[in-house]
Amino acid sequence: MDFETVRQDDILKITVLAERIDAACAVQFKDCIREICGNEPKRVVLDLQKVDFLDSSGLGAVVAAMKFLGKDRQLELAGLSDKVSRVFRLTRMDSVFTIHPTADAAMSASAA
Amino acid sequence: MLGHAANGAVTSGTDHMLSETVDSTAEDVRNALIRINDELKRLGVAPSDRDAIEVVLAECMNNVVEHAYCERPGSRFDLKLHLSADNLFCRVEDDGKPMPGLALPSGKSHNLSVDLSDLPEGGFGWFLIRELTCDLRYARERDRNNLMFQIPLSHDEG
Repeated sequence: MDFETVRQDDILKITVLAERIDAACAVQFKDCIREICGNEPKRVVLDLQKVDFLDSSGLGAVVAAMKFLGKDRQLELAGLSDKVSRVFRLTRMDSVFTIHPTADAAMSASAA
Repeated sequence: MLGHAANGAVTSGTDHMLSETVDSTAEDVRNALIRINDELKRLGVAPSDRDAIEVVLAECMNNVVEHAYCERPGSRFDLKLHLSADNLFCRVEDDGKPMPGLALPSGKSHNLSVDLSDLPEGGFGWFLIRELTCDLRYARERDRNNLMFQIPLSHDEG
């Protein structure tokens, strides 16, 4: 699975380059995010602008990534398409994450 | 008038039939979803309806692969879709294990007011299916699972 990462001060932006986070790649997604995040940074912005589709396995993998970061670090989401955001809304997971309209907005916002 | 398109699509009047035979792998489910979405787009189904259909079909087919076939490749299952003006009628048939208790899971929504470490990482599938479908039915007939439901079409371009 391909990702692009940009480090800016204590924020790590991870852009998911895959078009789908689904049952076929959810485990791989979780493993990759753990590896990319390691023990730092404080804030991780997951840019989903290129992601066209996310199923419940993909949603579970994003939740797992947030749990991996723990209470002292933050996973924020950005760039959700209408389709992806609908899955977050229906499951009410939109209430659990800080969601920014774009990754740029997330990078310029102060820590939530 | 009858017309044929790729992957077993048949047109009759304003209604369209689509059928797919899918291998019991997450990769083949993904490929089937992409083919169906392309076909529904070609047939002029609105984006918001296609989004709902893709979510529901993904959850149903992933359930078949994960639970009925226990993630073992080498089996196949059938998906039959009947598109009418205001509804998509769907039927998923597999030869895998029956639903526990021969009944559909309830698909309740989760309590999300919990500690970070207790947040659910699964169990969203049936909830999404129940939210986006109506007339959801399950039957076990001749050692086959039959899941049937309708997805009402909103024709919303958004």
